[in-house]
Amino acid sequence: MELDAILLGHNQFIGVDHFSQDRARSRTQIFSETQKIIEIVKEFNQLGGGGMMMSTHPRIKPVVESINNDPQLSKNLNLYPLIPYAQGYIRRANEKGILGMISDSLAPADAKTKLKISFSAGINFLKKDIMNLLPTIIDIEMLQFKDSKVNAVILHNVLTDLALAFQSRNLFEFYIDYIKDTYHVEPGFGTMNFCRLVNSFDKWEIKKPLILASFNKAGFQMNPSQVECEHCLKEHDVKLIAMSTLASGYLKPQEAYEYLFSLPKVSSVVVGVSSKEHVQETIGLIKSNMGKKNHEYFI
Amino acid sequence: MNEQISVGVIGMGKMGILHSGILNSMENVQLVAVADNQTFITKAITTLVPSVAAYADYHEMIANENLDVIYIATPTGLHTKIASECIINDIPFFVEKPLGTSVKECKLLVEELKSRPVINMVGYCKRFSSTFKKAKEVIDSRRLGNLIYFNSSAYVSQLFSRGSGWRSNKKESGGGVLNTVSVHAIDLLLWYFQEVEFIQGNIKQHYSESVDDFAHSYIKFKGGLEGYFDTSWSIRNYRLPEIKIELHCENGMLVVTDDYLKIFSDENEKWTTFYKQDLDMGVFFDLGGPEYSFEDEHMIASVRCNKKTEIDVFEGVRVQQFVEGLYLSANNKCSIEGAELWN
Repeated sequence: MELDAILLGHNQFIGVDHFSQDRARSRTQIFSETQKIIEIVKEFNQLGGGGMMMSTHPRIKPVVESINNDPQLSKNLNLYPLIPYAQGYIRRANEKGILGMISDSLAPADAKTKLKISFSAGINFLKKDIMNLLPTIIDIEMLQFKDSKVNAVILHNVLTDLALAFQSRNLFEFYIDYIKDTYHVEPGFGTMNFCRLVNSFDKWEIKKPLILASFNKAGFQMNPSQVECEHCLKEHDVKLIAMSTLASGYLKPQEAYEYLFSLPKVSSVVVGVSSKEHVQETIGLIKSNMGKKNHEYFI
Repeated sequence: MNEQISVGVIGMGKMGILHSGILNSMENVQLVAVADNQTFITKAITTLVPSVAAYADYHEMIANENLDVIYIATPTGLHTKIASECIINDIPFFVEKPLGTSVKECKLLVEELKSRPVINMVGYCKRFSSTFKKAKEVIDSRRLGNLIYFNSSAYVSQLFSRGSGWRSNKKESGGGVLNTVSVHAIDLLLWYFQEVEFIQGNIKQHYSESVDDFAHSYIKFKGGLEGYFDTSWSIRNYRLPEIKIELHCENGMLVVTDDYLKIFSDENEKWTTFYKQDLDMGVFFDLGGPEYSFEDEHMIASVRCNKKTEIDVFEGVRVQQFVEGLYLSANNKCSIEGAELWN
């Protein structure tokens, strides 16, 4: 599988903005129509953006359907699901407790069991063991992408970091095998703890899969520190998808991409663009900065 | 005290899992046991971390394990009861916010602590959030002059139908939005502005049967500062819980949220903005936000050095008094004086 160099993120379309909640609210209004989102996606794709990363946020379902139905996008755009949609689970857990959240989350599978999810002994059996439950949660989340061109499936940072906190090597191995065997695409892990994740893979002697982590000039969400993340990237054989490259809109694109492409290895960059002009500016800047550095690791 | 700190966590909901993860990732801290009567959750933890002992009954955990700290992350109705058991067993405890469901039960805990002191902390983690922490420095420095007026809110889009979990049951939660989502903001207001002179409030139920979905209040602090606090968990377009405090002073103003601190000074007629991107410098492990990691680090360091924490049970009681004062004001349709709140 060839990883796309520039991936379109989707936070700007669904009211997520780690810089300004006010800006998030105004964008939610703009992008309440799916067509407005698709226009940006098309522009991005036409200018050479090959992939889009997306969660299973409710707003995204019609976007995936529109992409599937578009002759150009369905052929030329690879999708990178980021699962599960953590905020939805957290909200349900807040309201109904963890067990209530699990029951609710399994509900859509009931209707669609015929597709591919086999319940060997029903929902109660699944609830008894997390290792039984995980494949079902993954399958439910992936239902949305059953007709899409998927390139990699990334585990959301909340789950990656929880497994990392518990040093649960089993869970990482399980996820890697399950995504490879079931979906025949590359598994990846989102994280807020890049160094610890890389070091843990080394310790467990797991061949490092794709890692989605924050890398930006401001050092924002680079833990335990910017210096240590840069050092770790330099010293280890890592396939990195860089996110929060503008530190959630804090940095100016020019300085942000200059920094990013001064790093030794970046396989792919997630960008958040919210207008056609913004798409043109961003892709132009990335291409020119890539060119300057003659980035040998860039695919 | 051993070099290695052994921790037990009671209540494996979202916050119990989060603290377990953070604590387990700290150096020289070991998560040795978890307790919850829902065995699916404890079994999941032991599947992931085989070295952790799982208990369906927390009493057994306290009796069997040699714990240096206990984290209490159960539904609110059990907080003070379990904290009392920690005191009896001389075990330092961390209790999630809010401290309890009533001032009465919280005050009993304070009395117990007076006779048998143990290190304790309440989970008001926003004090470790970089923007709110910076705002505290600015307010305390009085560089904007005396405090005159404030306007504040805590909103989240969470509940738009009748809730079904323990949070909707007043006996277990101690209240609706006011005693769950809003207590972080109330703690910040009390941390910034200290003692309340009076409070007037109103509450409204719309989606919930027995708890408040909206609360509105007007507060006067000793020293003259007056202003509003408004809160709801049923406001649209707030994907994440959001706290905003706007403060007007003699020589300028400030606005603080989770994302930024903006300061306007009359003297040079300009805004200075500190984004969290300016203030956050990385954390040893991030699971759900740096503030939770700093909070747990503070608790563990306090236990290690046998030192009082910065957010002990007394601070938790103050928040509870504010909440109860607001309910009282809403029910009796009158102002509640500070003296009534604190005595």
